[in-house]
Amino acid sequence: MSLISLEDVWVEKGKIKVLSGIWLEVERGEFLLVLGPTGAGKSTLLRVLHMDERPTRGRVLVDGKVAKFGGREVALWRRRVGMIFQDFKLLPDRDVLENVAFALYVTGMGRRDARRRALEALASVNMAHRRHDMPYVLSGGEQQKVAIARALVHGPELLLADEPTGNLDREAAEDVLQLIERVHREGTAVVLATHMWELAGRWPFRKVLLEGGRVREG
Amino acid sequence: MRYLVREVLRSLRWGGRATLIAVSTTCTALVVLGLFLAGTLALYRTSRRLMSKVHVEVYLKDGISQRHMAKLKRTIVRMPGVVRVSYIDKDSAAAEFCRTFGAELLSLLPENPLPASLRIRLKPGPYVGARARELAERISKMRGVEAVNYGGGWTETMERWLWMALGLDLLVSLAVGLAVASAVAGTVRLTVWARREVIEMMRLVGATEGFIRRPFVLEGIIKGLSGGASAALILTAGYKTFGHIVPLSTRDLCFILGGCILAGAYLGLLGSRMALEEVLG
Repeated sequence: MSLISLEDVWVEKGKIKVLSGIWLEVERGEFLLVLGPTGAGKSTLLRVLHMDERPTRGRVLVDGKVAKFGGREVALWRRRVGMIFQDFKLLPDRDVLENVAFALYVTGMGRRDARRRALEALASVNMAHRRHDMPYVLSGGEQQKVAIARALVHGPELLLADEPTGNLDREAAEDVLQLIERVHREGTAVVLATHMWELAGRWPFRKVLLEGGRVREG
Repeated sequence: MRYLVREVLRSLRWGGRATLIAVSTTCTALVVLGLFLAGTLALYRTSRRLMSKVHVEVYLKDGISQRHMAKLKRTIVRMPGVVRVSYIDKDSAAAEFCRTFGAELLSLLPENPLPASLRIRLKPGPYVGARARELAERISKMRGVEAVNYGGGWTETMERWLWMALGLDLLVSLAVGLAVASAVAGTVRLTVWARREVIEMMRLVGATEGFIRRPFVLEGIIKGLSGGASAALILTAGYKTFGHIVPLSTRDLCFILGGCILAGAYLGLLGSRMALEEVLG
């Protein structure tokens, strides 16, 4: 049984069809690369997988059950998923450790345990030494590593990465990609959306080409 | 829980001046409400004391037989709203008159001019004045009755004033409620807007809607509660200074102060929920 699957999913914004009849399955522990030019619908696809975007038509199945996109169901699903973005989305008024621990506070975990787990997550991305720094003093690559630590701190089954290297220089991008590879090796399913075609040759994983809101597996 | 408290404190600190404005608006509005409540309670207590004394005096014609008087008494006591009917004979009426006005006046007269009467006690409660008037009108038409006195229209006037005061209280309560809820809603709305980035992040990492809203709701309650408590302090100080001219008991005062604090908390809750509904949907 797939971790999550989309069955004939459509997302329409007025007359614009952002996604048109998408059929997609994400298996546990797999690495799926979603490739496509800017505006192809990659981010929308990831938002549907994150239950942040409700399809206009079609069904989303989690563990084989139809998702209703209800309040609590969405929250519980997101606790099984980690997500990273091109613009990192770190909270500017909290230090690195609090940014990571934040993902655990919302699940009701106590401060001490949350901070201990956050420090472990930061150590796993080699950022523990910057735990007391504010996000604005970090480089782009470092901010993305903190965002990855936040996405991984609760031990997700699925990591969604939306253009994770889009704002990074070559060296920082390489660091982040290696980190994502490691996360996958450790058993987490990864869906990575990017417009960087060169990544297609880097990994021997399943690839999905998204064009004009339609899927072409390749 | 500690996370909740930390988030609320963060919001209150961030709010600074807006928080102060919300608390002082709540306080002012609740002081006004408290004063109106005190006035109404004072009016209610006074009117209740006076109303409990309302009775209808039925003066009987001279020479009425004891049998007829007993029949009249039986008829009246069966009328709705009548609690007790007592017979005051001419001698008792004279004794009562002497107790009130002194004995000299009556001693100047050759004989006792005061008539025997039936004194009717009415069941206390709303519209006692109107009930007394209706009863007086009915009894005045009965045979053997010389005149009926129910104390004029003062009871009805007093009741009218009481109802008007209650109506005014209701209006003031509504206005105050609206003012406080709007003031708190305004500041909570600001906080929600200022923290929309955090809210977005909370949603992304799997916070439930309840978890997201709780700090804002608590913030609203704290603001309302602070305003209510400040109003209670001001009203207490006012009562200590002017309490001697207002006929209110300690119980009444506790009712008003408790009401202010609870109303503050409830209106704070209402205001924050209004703001959350508006901003977060």
